[in-house]
Amino acid sequence: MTNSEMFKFCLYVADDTLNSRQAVANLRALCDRYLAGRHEIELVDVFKDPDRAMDDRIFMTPTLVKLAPEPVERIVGSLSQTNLVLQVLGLEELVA
Amino acid sequence: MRLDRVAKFDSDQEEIATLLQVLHETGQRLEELTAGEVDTATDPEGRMLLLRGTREQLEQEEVARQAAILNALPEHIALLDAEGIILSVNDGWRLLATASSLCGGPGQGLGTNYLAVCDRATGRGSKDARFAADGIRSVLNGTSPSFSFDYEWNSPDETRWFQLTVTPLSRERPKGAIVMHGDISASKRIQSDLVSLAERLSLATDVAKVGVWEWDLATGLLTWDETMYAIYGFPQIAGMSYEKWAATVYPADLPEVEAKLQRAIHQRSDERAEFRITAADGTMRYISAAERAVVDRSGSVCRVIGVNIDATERRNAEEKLHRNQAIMTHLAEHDFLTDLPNQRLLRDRIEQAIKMGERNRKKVAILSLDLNGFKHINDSLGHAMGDKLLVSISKRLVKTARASDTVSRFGGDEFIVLLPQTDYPEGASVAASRMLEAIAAIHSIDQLELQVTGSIGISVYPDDGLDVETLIKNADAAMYDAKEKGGTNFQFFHPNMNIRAIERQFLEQNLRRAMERDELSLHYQPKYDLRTRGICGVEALLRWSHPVRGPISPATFIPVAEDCGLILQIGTWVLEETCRQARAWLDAGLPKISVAVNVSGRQFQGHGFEENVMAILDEFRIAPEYLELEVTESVLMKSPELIVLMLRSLRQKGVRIALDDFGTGYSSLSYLRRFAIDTLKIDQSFVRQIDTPDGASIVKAIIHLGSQLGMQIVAEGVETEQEATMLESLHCDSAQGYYFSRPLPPGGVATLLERSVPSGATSAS
Repeated sequence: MTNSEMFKFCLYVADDTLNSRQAVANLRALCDRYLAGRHEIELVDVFKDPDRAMDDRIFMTPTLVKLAPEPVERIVGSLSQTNLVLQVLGLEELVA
Repeated sequence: MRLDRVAKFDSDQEEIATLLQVLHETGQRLEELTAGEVDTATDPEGRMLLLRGTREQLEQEEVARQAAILNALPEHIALLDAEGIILSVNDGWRLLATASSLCGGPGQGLGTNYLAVCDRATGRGSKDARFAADGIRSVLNGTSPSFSFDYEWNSPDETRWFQLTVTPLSRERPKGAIVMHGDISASKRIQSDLVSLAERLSLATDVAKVGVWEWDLATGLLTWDETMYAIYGFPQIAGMSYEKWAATVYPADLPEVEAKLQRAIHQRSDERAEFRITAADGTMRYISAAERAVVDRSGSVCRVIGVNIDATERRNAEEKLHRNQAIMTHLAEHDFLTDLPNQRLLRDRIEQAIKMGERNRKKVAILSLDLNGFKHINDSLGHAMGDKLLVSISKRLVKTARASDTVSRFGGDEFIVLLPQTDYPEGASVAASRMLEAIAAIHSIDQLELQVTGSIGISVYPDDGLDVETLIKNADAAMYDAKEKGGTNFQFFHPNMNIRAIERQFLEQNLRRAMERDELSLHYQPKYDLRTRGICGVEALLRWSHPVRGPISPATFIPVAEDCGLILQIGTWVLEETCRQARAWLDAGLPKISVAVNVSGRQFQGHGFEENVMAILDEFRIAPEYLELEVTESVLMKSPELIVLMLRSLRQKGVRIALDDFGTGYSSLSYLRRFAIDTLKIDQSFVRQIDTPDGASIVKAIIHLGSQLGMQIVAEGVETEQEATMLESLHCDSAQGYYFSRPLPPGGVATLLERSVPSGATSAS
């Protein structure tokens, strides 16, 4: 994994619910801090686009899916425990 | 967030599906399993399960937070809708609901109509409840912006106060209201304490007639309350000022009162004063006052407050009590009829006299006097007359007594007289004689002339008894003895005292007569110059020859003469007679010699002694240098200051002073210096011992001492040639005694002087 790799995320939320809102805020903060300039985030509202959720086999919101780099990882929850999130994303070395 | 589970989601979709199936049926547990991290869940068929609301849910959370805040408040709060139905209550309300009728009662009243509850209230507090309901209605229908009132609610244990506050939920349109009950018991209690304190103070000052004033130092304004005006008698309308007040205070009292006022201000002390005022009606009143400075927040004195009490009645009562007390005390200690000290006071006085006598080694005499045949007067003339006679007698007894004596009525017709500090107890016989004489004189009472006699018994402390009762008892016994001896006489308890008293009375009575009958005479003891062995002077010696008893020694009669005062007459006579004789010798052409005269202490104390001496010298034309006054040490000691002055004055006029019997009294060097002494006479007791080594040393020392002080030395009682020679060798100036000559009558002296002329051994001393 090099510093130039792009991170692609897809975050599945349910409108403006409590955990979904927090997940969006937490993901943005995490990317700004650790992946500045090399991340892309796609937000999917499962209320507005239920079929997409079903196609992507998303059963809970909020759910974050890391599409790139490989391997694809899924995290369910508000993403408030930053260290755990970085671990799952394979970004442990960024934990100081 | 549980990552282990999250990881499994990805690997085992089937398991999740099963889980979700379960969760779908028991929706509530999902929240628990996902630790609240998940908002939605969808089963495999895509049926979405909403776990969490959106904005509305958040608002509910906000409400919960506000509820928590409300629950934390101690006030009792309920939310009413527009109809008055209780929508929610805080914890405080729930607690109070069990206690106060105004809070809805059991079940905390949720869903009940609070207005109805209040309207339905019965019994205690129902009036307050209906008043509250009206107030809440006025807020709910928008006629009042808010409503508040205090009400009392008593639990069995204590009185509690609440404040009901009703606040509308919205100002624009009535939507409901917040009803809040606050416990204001504490502040209410303080407030009511203050009110009752003020009331009590006002009542107290009113009842106690305490006037209160306040003086503002900045404005000078003096404010009085009603009572102040009442005390001073000024109309309240007129107002008061410091000057107006000060003008009412007695000028003599004002400086102190003002000083205290200033002290209260400057030292911030509480001051008390008592002063007199002239009230508006012109009467004098005593004011008892207290004042205190009041300090403002900056710490400086801004005003003085004080109280005044009219103390006139108290002062008058105190004075009256004091007067009454004095009268009571006097009555308790005095005889009602004669106003003489009664038994009780007499016993006290005797007690004191005994103590004094013990300390000063003096005697105390108790005279018991009983009237002879007084019973007959009472029986024949009546008690009224008898009483008047007793009063007359008591007056005469007091008149004969000295100021220090106590004349008391002991009861009936018995009187007891106390003579404290008696030098010669036989002197009591003089007092007794005078009393008997005074009583026996005729009493003129109601145009009647009455005569009565008495009998007196005398006891003497410490000879006849050491305590009051014994002394009185023995004086009584002696009095009965006097009655037995025929009355109108006195008897001592101790038989020896009677003899001495008789002797003394004999001497006193006869000495008076001796002057008139020329029984007194002078003999002259010649004095010789030890060097020339020629006569140089004479000492006049008094002789009394009683027609029946023969010669009586001066040692016997001089103390009596001194005691009864006859010494003054006798002394003057001796001085006159001596000078007359000296003039006669001179006129006969005999040589000038010095004449010495003995002077008693009483003579010095007598009025005009010095003038008397000078007048006599002048009368017989005797130069003062030829008169020598001989005094004893003991006499000089009695009133030294007076005598020093008189002796100095006499010496300045030339009269010579000799100290008699030197060595027998209080001889001291400083004492010799103080008195102006010309001649020292060595007592014969020293001369007697001159042949012993010790005796010789003493005489030698006296001569040396006297010479050093520039005095002439005369030896007394020289009886042998040996003594004379010895004295001469010791440089003694002159001597007298049987060796040289016995005391001689004037003719004998003249013969001696005649013989001394040819030898030329005359001396002017």
